[in-house]
Order: sequence, then C-alpha cells, then structure tokens
Amino acid sequence: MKMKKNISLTVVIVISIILSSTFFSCQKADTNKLAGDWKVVSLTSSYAYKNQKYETSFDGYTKTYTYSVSDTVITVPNPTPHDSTITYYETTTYTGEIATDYHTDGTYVYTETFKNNTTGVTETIGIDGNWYFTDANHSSEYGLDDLLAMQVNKLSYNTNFGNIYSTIYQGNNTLDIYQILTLKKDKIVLRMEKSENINFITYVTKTDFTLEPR
Amino acid sequence: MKNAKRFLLLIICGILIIPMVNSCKVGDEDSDFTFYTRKVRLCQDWSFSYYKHTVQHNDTIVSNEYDGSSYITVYGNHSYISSAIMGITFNKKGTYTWNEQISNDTSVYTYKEEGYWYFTGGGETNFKELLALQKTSHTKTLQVGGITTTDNYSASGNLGTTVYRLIKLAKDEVKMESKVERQYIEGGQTVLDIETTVINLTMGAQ
Repeated sequence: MKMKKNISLTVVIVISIILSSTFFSCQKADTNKLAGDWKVVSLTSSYAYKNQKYETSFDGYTKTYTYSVSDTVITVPNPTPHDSTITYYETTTYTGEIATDYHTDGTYVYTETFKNNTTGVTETIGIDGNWYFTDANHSSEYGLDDLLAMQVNKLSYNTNFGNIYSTIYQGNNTLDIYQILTLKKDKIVLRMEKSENINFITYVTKTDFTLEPR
Repeated sequence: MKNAKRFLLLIICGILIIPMVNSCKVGDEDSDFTFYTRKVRLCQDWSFSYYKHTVQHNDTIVSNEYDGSSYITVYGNHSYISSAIMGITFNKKGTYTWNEQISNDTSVYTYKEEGYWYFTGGGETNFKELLALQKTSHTKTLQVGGITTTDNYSASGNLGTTVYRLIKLAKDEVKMESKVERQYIEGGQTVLDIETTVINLTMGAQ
C-alpha cells in the first residue's frame, strides 16, 4: 500500500516536471544580451546582379563605395583572336560613423552620418525600429537567438544640401534577417548573406559588420 | 508528518504547473490552457476558410477575398468571381508550403510558395506571437486561351520575411493578420500605401 502511494506521488511529480518543461517553450528569449549602445567598427557589403556590383567597405572612420560594371565582350583580333571584358569602376569615399542602439524594450535606433570627401555634402540616415530574436528552425539549421530580425518603423534621409526624405511604417513591416556570429559584452558580429533568383536573374547580397560598445 | 510531506510535494507540483498555464496564452484569442505546444498546434495541413488581401495606394484599393470556395477580386467598380482552393502546410522541421488554384471560365492560375517559418516577437508583442514566413521559392502559372505564362522565384540565405500576428493558434483553427502602412512624401505630396492580409485557417487539406 505504502509502495503504491509512493509510486503515485512519483508519477505526479514526473508529470508536473514534464508539464513544467513545456513552460520553457512559452518563455521569452533573453533580450538583455544585445541591449546597449554600439558603434560599427568594420563593415563590408556587396550587392551584385547581372554584370553590376555595388561594394561598400567601412573601417570605423572611412567608407569606400565602389560601383563596377563588366561589359562589352569584344573580340580582340591580334595577335590571336580572343574575347575580352572591360570593367568600369567608380569609387567614392566618405568620412563618418555608424551607430546602432538596441534597447531592452525591443526597439532600436540606427544612425549613420557621412561626409562625401569629394563634394563635401553630408548625408544622414536615421532608422527607428523593432528587433526580435527568432525561434529555432530545424530545416534552416538555426537555433533560438541565432538570428536577429530587424523591422524598420521610420526611415529618414537628410543632407545638408536640402534633401529630406522620410518614410514612416506602421504595423507588421517586413523583417530583415541577420545571422548572429558573435554576441559578447564587448563585440557583436552580424552577417546577412542571401541569393535571389528572379526569373533567371540572380541577385546576391553579402553584408558583414562588427559592432563594439560606444 | 507523511501528510505534510505529501501536501508539500503537491504544492511544489502546483508551482511547477501554474507558470505554464499563465504563460501559454500568447494571442488575443488563444485559449487559457492547452497541452499542445504552439509548434504542435501550427504544424498541420490547413485549408484557408477565409483570406483577404488588400492593397491601397492613396485612394486606389484592390482587394482579393476568399471565403473557402469563391475568390473575388475587386478593383474600383469592377469585380471578378472565380472558384478557388487554397491551403497551407506547416512542417515540424520548419518549412511551409502554400498552394493556390484559382480558376474561372477563361483562365487557370496556380501558385505554389515554399519557405521557412519562425516564431518570433518581443517588445510590445509576446515572444511567439509573431509568425515570420521566409519565402525561398514560388512558381506562378497562368493559363489563358491555351497560352501559359510562368513566373519563377528561388532564393537562399538570410532572406527578408513577411510577418503575421497570430491572433488565435488552436489545434483546429488559426487566425492571423498582417497590416503594413507606409507613408512618405513624393513630389510634395504625401503618399499612403497600406497592405493588409487576413488569414483564417481550418483543419485539413482540401
């Protein structure tokens, strides 16, 4: 009789623990890991489609933007006939900074200010938005907190030349997805790498950036 | 003493269970208590019982509405009625497949979309209150008068996602919606774009 009671109590406890463990599937992701005021100390980015490529590099102070287009395959007749590709490059350099502040309430503020070293025009981009961690996904092989989703709510672009553009979003705007490669107190490394094939044209985007506390 | 011990154990069990009951209500119309996880509730073959997609650009509105059998497109004073089948399957491994077939006397349109799904949320929403759909491919075909046109999309990597708020996630019914408003100034004029999608799902593939 005593044995039976002990078994039934054990069963109740085991069931409770199993039920309680499902509680963890309802819990919030830890939002404190990312929160803080950060600056971008390095960035490399490229966007390519067909024969065109847009590349950006930033070392925390100087930003170099390069546009290149490879074109006109021509037959060179001499000395031996062969094809040749001409690549046109256009490079612009800027001086400035990029900062991102992730808040514990799930919002973020992104600002970038750059002065065009040739024209002297200063461009400012400001973004207010929400950030989220995504849950695990077996097929895409990402675990909980492996991906950072950023949702733009307001985007403004200003120059000291008089151009002002502002776009305000409300609701469930599209999420931009970044892989979290490093998430430490003193360093965050994010990556976006994607390839889209739209009616036989391939668009490839690669962005890597490193943040450190401001 | 024995009774006190047993009482203490029962209290511990209660403490273990209570947080689960309170924390699992995520969407506005979710039930207060369920034994099924959100993943188990979502990962099934679903039929659309209702779907409405509205795109507004300033005063111009185009809407597509489906009631489980008829698909109605409204553009200004014009409306077109077709018969349709719409379904979506969420897989436990994290993929989804969305299928549509819309046909009338003169045309047949088919749409198949595949991708990954993620629960997400935070800030003003609960974690897992948002459902992000990351499309990795779609194929659209339209057959009109013996001519077939096809539109293909395929992608990989860290693609942007559409996002829905899960209002109700039950074992036999899902309600979700997405609304995005975009306001900007173009040529001195304020432009307003609104895109709204309302989806109700019911159990079983059609």
